[in-house]
Amino acid sequence: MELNKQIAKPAAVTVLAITAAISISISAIYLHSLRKQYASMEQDSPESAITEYFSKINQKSYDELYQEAEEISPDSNSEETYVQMLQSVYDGVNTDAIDYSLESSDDSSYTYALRYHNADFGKLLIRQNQEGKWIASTLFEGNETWKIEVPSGLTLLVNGSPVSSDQMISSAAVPDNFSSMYDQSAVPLADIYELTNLLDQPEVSVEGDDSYTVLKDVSSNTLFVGKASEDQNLIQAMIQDTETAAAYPAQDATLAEVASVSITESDWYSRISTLENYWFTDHSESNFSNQSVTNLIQQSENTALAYVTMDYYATNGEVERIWHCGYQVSLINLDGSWKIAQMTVDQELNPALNSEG
Amino acid sequence: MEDRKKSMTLELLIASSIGIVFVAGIVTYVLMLKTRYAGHTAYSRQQMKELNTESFEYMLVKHFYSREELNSFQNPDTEVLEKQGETENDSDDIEIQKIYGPTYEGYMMLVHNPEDLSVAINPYFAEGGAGPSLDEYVSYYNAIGGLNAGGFEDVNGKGDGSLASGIVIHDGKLISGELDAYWPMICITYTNRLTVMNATGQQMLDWGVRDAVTFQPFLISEGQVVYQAGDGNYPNLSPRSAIGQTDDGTFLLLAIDGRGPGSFGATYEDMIQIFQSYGAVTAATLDGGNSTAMMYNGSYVNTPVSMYGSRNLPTVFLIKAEGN
Repeated sequence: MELNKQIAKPAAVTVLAITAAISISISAIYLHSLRKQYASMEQDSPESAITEYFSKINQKSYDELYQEAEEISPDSNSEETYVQMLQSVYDGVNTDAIDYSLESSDDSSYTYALRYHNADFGKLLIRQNQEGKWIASTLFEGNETWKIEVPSGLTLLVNGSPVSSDQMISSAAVPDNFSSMYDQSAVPLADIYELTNLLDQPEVSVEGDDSYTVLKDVSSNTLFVGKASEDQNLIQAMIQDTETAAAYPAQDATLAEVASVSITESDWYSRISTLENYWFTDHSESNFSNQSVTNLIQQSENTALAYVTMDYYATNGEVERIWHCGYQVSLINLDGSWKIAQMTVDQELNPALNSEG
Repeated sequence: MEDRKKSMTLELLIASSIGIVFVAGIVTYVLMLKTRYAGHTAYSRQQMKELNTESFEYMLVKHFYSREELNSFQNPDTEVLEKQGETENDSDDIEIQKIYGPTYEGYMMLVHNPEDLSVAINPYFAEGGAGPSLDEYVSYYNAIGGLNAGGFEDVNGKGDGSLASGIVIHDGKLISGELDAYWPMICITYTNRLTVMNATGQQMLDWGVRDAVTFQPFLISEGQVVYQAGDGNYPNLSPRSAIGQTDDGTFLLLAIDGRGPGSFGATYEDMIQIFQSYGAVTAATLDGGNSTAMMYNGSYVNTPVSMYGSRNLPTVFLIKAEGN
């Protein structure tokens, strides 16, 4: 063959184009085949769930991630808490730089330790869902323990699922907000559950009855479950009884008046009856204002529990002061009138203190 | 000449074809490497981990990753070198925490530098002058905060805090009281330890007490509850002041509001529970009721009972300001 032979340009260009087309086609077919092979290997691997998980993290599909987490590892943290935790952990993180290594495994799951910037970052649980697809979930373990007191006999749900009876610590017990009454024979009973290793307050409800809601105890991680109420007579009783008790230290009510609105055979009354109110600054004018009852629930027909806030003003013409007061009040009706069984102070319930920041 | 422009030699054509195939091959190779090692999949991550860093392939593939990502593949078990000091709490050596109870709200002031706490006495007591209010003490002695301390002799029934009850020791010297009378004493030693004891003034000076005031009942001593029902003279629901100390030397200054609509008051048992929750090894009551007052950084922390503010006080515990 003469290498110097002249080939017409159109023909030469055609040859070159065909050569390029064939080369590119072979390359594309090869790469496609390679990608299919790797994708197949990836799909069969549990670790494929990690890739997909981080992809959803980057897309901030936190709600979807929560649903998947509940599929493979349901826990008692609320969706809001779980999503907030995901955001706090992953926002701003370069997921490509997260390294993971298998920490432990059993017949149905794998746990991977995550490291980021050479520091421990967390753990991922990988498990197959009911359809056989590998799903990943970040494991969060909180250090909060919550008690939930629900009227005895009702089924308690957390995140929509019944709480296991293993987590019930007492059955048909006196609720904590009535436990300081000396005679508890008329107190409605509650089943008490304890949930541990939580990140924050759980989302609870009662099976088959949307009228139940919760009130969080001001002094502990306890949730009281009861029927939400807007009974105006009950609200009025709450305000009047609370005002009487609050007025006593200021000498605007007598101890006898406090006794008339209290269960006297109780720790609450035993305490308040020892308060000597003659120390309060003499004043010529005083009043209560901005009275409010919130989160009113009834654990039974003859009991009530709510937050009560009010402001108390006093002056003697020379000095004046406003007290922004807040209380958690438990009432019980034993003889036709609502009386204080327990009263706990918490000024931070008062919106005036919150707004003062 | 024109014929050459409209044609190319066979040699050139073959060379060009080989060149096209070569370039296609190079590009395919690079794309293959990218798919295999940088596909952002679990598989490709595993391949990267197993790739020899001195290989030709690594030299090419590393350009698909940042340095940080490359380090994470090659050094998964590198120990974290914590930057000492940067995460240290740089806030004040004083913390104030809100305290809650069934019938009360209050404040616990944690003084982490025990050497900063000392007793101050009414500077006008020698001439019978009324004791200052807590804010006046704090201002007079240029302190950062304080808590009312011991009780007072109510001379003339005016309750002006002019004369401290019992014994007062400051800086190792007897300031007020008799050397040979027994009193319930709340003492701070020169090693900055809080101690409670019934003793005479002379005994305390002999034992090397730095500062001391008189009050009772004692609540906790050497880690044990020493209070018994019936002790003390005021078991009622009341505003409370108290002092305690943890094993690591942190002083605990407690002020509980009471006698008002916002907070009714606490009992001795309430205070014991509070100090136990803080791990106090020593704790004792101070003068409560209308005397209870706590200040920090120029403001009252608690709400004194009287609408006129803090009463006249005979003695207070003061926390030294930084640099003072």
